Amino acid sequence: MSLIVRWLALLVALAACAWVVARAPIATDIAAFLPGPATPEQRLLAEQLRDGIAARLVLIGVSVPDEAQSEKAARVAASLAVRLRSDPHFTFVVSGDPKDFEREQQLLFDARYLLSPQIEPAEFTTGGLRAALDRLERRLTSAIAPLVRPMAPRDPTGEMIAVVERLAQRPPPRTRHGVWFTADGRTAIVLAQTRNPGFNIDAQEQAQRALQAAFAASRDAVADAAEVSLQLAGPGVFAVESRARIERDARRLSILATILIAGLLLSVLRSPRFLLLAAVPVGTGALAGLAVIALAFGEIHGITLGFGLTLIGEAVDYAIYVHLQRAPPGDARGNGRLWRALLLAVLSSAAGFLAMILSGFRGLAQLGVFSLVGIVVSGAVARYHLPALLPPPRPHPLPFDWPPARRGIQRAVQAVIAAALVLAVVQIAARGSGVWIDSLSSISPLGSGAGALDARLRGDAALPEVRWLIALERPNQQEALEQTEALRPTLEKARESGALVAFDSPADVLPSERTQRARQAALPERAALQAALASAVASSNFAPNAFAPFVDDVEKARAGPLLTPAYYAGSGLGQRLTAQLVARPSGSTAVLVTVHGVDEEKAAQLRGAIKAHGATLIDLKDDVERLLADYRRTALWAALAGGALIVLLLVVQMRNARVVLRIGAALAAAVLVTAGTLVHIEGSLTLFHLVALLLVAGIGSNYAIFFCRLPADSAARRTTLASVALASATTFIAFVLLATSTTPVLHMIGTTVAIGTLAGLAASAACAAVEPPDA
Amino acid sequence: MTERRAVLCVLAGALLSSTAPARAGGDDLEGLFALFAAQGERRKAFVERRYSVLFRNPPEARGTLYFKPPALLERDVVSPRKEKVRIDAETATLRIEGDDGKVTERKASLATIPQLANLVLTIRATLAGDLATLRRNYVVTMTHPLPRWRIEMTPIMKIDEAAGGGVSTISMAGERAEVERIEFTDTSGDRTEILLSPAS
Repeated sequence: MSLIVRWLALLVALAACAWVVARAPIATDIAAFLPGPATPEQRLLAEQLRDGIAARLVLIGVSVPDEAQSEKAARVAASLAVRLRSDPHFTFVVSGDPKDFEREQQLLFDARYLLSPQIEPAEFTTGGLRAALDRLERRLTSAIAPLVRPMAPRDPTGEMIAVVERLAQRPPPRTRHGVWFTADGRTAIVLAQTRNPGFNIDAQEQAQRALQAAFAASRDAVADAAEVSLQLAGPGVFAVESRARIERDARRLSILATILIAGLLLSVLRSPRFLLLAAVPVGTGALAGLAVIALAFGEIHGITLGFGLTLIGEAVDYAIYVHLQRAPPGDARGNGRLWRALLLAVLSSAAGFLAMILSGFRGLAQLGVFSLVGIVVSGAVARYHLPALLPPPRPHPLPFDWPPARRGIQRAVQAVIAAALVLAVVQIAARGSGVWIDSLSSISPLGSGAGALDARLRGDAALPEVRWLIALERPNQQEALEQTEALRPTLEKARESGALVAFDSPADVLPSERTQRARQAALPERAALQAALASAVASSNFAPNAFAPFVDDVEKARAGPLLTPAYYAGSGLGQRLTAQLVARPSGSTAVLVTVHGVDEEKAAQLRGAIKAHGATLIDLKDDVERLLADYRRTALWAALAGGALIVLLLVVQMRNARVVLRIGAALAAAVLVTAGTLVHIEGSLTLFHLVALLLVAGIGSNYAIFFCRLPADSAARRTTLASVALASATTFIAFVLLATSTTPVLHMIGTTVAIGTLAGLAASAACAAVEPPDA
Repeated sequence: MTERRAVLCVLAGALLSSTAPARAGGDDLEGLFALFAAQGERRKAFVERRYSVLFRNPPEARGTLYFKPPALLERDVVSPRKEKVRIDAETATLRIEGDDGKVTERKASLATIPQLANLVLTIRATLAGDLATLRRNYVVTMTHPLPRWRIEMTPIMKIDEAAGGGVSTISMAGERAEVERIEFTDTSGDRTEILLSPAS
């Protein structure tokens, strides 16, 4: 009766978990895996990474196999740009055609008297105008005459040139056949901005599908263009791609792991019934873990999902221990011993994960909660649901005994482990702090190849690298713009000294109202301007009526409305302003000045100079790396705390200093040898290696718990040994498979734990001891 | 307007070639461009005058023009003010000496300055003897045969008046392989005249 109730409860719980998990959204943005921001700048940084305008950018490469076909690529790209402009998924599309910027030029030209930095009362006196006319004559006889001539009658003082000079600090991108091209002449570049934010992966996926269809149509429209190919880069593209990849890997590998582990268990234990029952704690644990994080975090991260299949390898161990080490019915003492060992194994594994949860980082906490819940639930199901239904225990002794009768053999193993330990410590110590690598790309779900494509297209499109930002925040937009204007001379000085190559300040496009009013006030009334102009023209080489439209335009600007962000709505400049003038949740306004080509050696100086204006230099690369390093350091402390917790647990449970010492030694050796081997193979370790080492500690402690208190009875001892050997074999299979994943995160965890399983088994064997019969 | 002129030119060209085959205008044009093509790099002194409704007197610039086939063009102005433009393939580099004697250098892709690109491509193609390229953009007619030749070019495409600065006609004159005079007339009615002579 109670058995049926117990299983019914389990089924109901399983159904509830499955319902919760099925409804949970899956996230893959790496920002969710970043630590909670500690400073206002970090919070801004995290927001920008997640849903800044840069996160909506799709970089589109249209490639041909060789340069000779570049015209074909250009025609497909131009046609694609036209199609995307009418696609509702995209708000803004540019391909380098000068026509793309006609609207922007017109907007700037019409607003030139509010934008031009050279406007001041003296400019419109007879003397000022006379000097302007001399300058105009020089320009009209220079090579830039074709550019200046059409504007000359409306803009003799050259305000448009002054406006554009401020904005165009960077050399423009390369162009071929009217579109942007990479340096090798093989890839035409189109930039598109999606309507939906970069973190909305479903929307990003739809936009990309629309983009691919538009590309196919464009390619078909151009004759003989079958060889033209499409490449996509950008944060949204990577998010979609990494989600697909993690899901694909997780599914493929978990199926494969299940088949292989099932095959192994079936061939050794020859019990299909056991196999079916063993799936219960594994599945329940994984589902319960996912359900709890879905409830606690509102979403399941793709990385957690990938991590989930690692649980198969560990959770199946409990079913094996229960099946093999169960004492015959009636042997309450024997079973009591097993339950204690099982409890200890579950708790010591959980201790490592508890440390992860307490580390305070959202991403790690999610992994920790998942693993902790998964392990505790699997252990409990194995303990309370399996025994009654399992086939009667059959002895499956190991073909040999351990510790071996000849002490020399174990001594030899100990010597090998000790030597490996020394080598590992030397290996790690020799690398010093270089052991860790903290770059974002090292933990990115896609690896470095994707980043390289992004950098290539970005560099060739002369986009700001999105590495450096200058940020400031004020209670309202006007104060923020005023503060940005005050910052400008400092940035200009930095540019002259070579500390930076260029900067894009939103105040150059949208000056503060105060500055706009000052410029309006500097413009003379019609009569005064006409008089001053007449006398200036009279003494110049210009014809008397050459500048009639100029007088009209000045009058219009003098009495006209001030510029607001709405003036630029729907244009490229409008997009830029939206990205650079950020309304914060607190109601204040943050200004982001994108900075290009910062000289790293002069960065500290720049930081100091802009600090006087309340601005901060954010280095997306270094700051993210610093964040990750902090994160990793905290994770390391969490890991050490987890280790301490495991030892404490052992002390409390066992109350036997010698046994605890043995287990502790085996555990430390397993973790250190694994870390040393990893450093040797991979060169350096990331955050995810560290997390995986926690898993190694958990698994290693399980082996050590059984090995350091082996039953005195030879048959029971050899059965225990067999169960540990089988458990480690299943774990090893699961993680070796994971190591074959192309997703860097899964690969790292897989490699670490696969090595760790072997190291843990060897270290436990070295420390193995038989429990005194009276204990 | 311009379009109609282009059509007229085509008609005129067709008429000329059909009614007066003895003058063999086409062959002459090809012969002239073959002479251009046969010349290698060259440097010429130039005087440039700009006739515009804006000016009372046409301003004058003097300097040298240097061309190295196929795509390097340099315009080196010495008076009234030093200025150097170097156009290599698609990249334009502009060096201007300011009032304070400070030299500023600017680089730009030719394609981003269509107003300038047009002129550069025309001069470059002419000097390189590349008639095919010119004919892609212009109706080219020889209005006076060799040896003291004269040619006229009219853009085929309708010029975008809003963009401004478009060329409405280009005429060139010279003797045998030497180009002595180039004249651009743009849509605003401005006329730029360049007189070339052997570099001293």
